[in-house]
Amino acid sequence: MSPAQLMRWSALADKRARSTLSVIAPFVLGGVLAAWVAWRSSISFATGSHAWTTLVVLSFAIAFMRVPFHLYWRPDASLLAQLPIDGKALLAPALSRCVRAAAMQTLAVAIGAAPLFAYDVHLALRHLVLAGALGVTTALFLPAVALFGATVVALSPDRTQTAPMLGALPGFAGTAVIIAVFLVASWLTGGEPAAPPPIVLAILLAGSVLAFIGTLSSTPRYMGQILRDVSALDRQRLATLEIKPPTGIENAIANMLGEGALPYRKDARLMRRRYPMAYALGALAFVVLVIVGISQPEDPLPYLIATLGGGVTYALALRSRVWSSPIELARLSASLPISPQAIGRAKRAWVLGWFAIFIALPAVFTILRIA
Amino acid sequence: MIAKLDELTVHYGKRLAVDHLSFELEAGEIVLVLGPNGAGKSTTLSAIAGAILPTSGTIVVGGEDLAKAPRSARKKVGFADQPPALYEFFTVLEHVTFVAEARGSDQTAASKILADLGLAKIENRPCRELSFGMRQRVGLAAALVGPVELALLDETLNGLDPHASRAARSALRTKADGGAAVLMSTHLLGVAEHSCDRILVVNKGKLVEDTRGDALKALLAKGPTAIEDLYVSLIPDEGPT
Repeated sequence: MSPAQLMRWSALADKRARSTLSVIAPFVLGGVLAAWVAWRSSISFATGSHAWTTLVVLSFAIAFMRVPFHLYWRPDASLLAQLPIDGKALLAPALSRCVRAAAMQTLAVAIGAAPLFAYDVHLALRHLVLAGALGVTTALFLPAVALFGATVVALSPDRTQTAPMLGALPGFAGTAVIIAVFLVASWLTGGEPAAPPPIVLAILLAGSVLAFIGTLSSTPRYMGQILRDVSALDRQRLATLEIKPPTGIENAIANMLGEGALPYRKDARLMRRRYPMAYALGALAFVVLVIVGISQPEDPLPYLIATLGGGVTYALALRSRVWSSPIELARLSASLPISPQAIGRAKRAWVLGWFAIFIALPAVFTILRIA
Repeated sequence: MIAKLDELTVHYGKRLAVDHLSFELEAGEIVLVLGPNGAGKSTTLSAIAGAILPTSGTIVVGGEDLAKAPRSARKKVGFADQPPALYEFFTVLEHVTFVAEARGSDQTAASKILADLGLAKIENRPCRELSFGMRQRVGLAAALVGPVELALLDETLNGLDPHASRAARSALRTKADGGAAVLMSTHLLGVAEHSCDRILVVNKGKLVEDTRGDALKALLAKGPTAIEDLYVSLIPDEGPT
């Protein structure tokens, strides 16, 4: 199968999997960001710029984390690895997905910067330059780093030892990019940046292009092996499930649910195993809110709104997950003597419990401190 | 009587899948449902399990009308779907224990049925790691665990090795001897010959044959291909419907 053929099949599969919402998402997110920036800009250009930067860093951090999912942590990875497809053909649609996602992300944050043009066109253009640099980094640099890590894992004699690189290396690279953004953040408002922006931006762009060229020349040889080994490792790691009893909090919530206790306990265990990221991101939001509460910055609103907005959005995503396979098996539930009301109660309790512990409690602490 | 279907009818959109199907199931019976692909076997089992809603007709299990008292009825029904619905991130024991607890039973019952089916060694293995045959067996364990009066098995014995098949048939017989009824669809006519007390043949959603007791014994006495001959005589080879 040629790269073009696989690209065509891949595009067809992606197109069918994509909802209308995902097509309009950049415009919706851009619109929301623009409204937020417009509101904050009414105080001052710097406040508006800070608001934009906060959400841009947050959204690109999420985009960085998603890069491995465009490349190798894909449901079709093991199938593709089994087929006699050339590595170059396997690489093409993977990189294309990364570029597309980065373009959508950049479009959204560019729309979000639009209100700044009403105040200072020159400084507003700097925001677009930064957005573009971040877009190129997401499209070219992060995939190159992720694939480099995956190649090292695939070629290493003990893959289970090197497997953490699959997530850690892109995470480390993403952190470095975010630090670079902070180094030039003052430049966006006409201030004195911690590092010269032309050099920082040039390093980001040149590094991305060089890394991408390196990927195109070296990765095709290993792409089949990467897909096969990563999916096998994924299965192996997930096979070693953390079998832990319910936590005290889970038991306390379950005890309040009556008939919903059994499906709640089931959901709690499955969510912990299938979506551990919910706990990691929840803990991150918790820490951010507590730090804002303790440090009491001059303008805490961007941090609060970004974290709370992110928390609510993620809680909605979790609500959808808790109702879907592999957490909920509708046909099995329908054949068991558990009422739909109890199942619904269990799902609501899990989502509200997550939100209360990770978002609402620290938010109340922070708001009380600031007030 | 364990269960009674009265004029059960199921439509998928405009397509009629089950057409005014009526029969009763007695305690201690292992009943085989035969029929071509698309005959309505799986739909009938799913409807009895409460996994799909019938268009019309009534289903009574253990004296409880499934439409009027779904919870009480479902407590008595175990269903092995096709493919088996397993919580992929549960271990085998966790999955079967969850189903057992839903039916008011406990982990001891789950462990016992897993041991009966020869699955004790893999009880701590995640469901997502299981082979096709293993998944079938775990689905069977979940269908049989707890105070089940009616076990519904949708081609659950397919893909089992001879030892597993023998253990499964033995577990079904034990369940039936304990006063339950087993209703299973399969295309494995050899399995049918070894283990069933009654044969229902459905075609185009309708019951076309119900053989049991002496009639079944007489049929089986005709030789190893008797069930296949009966099937072929009743169902014209028209391809999938």
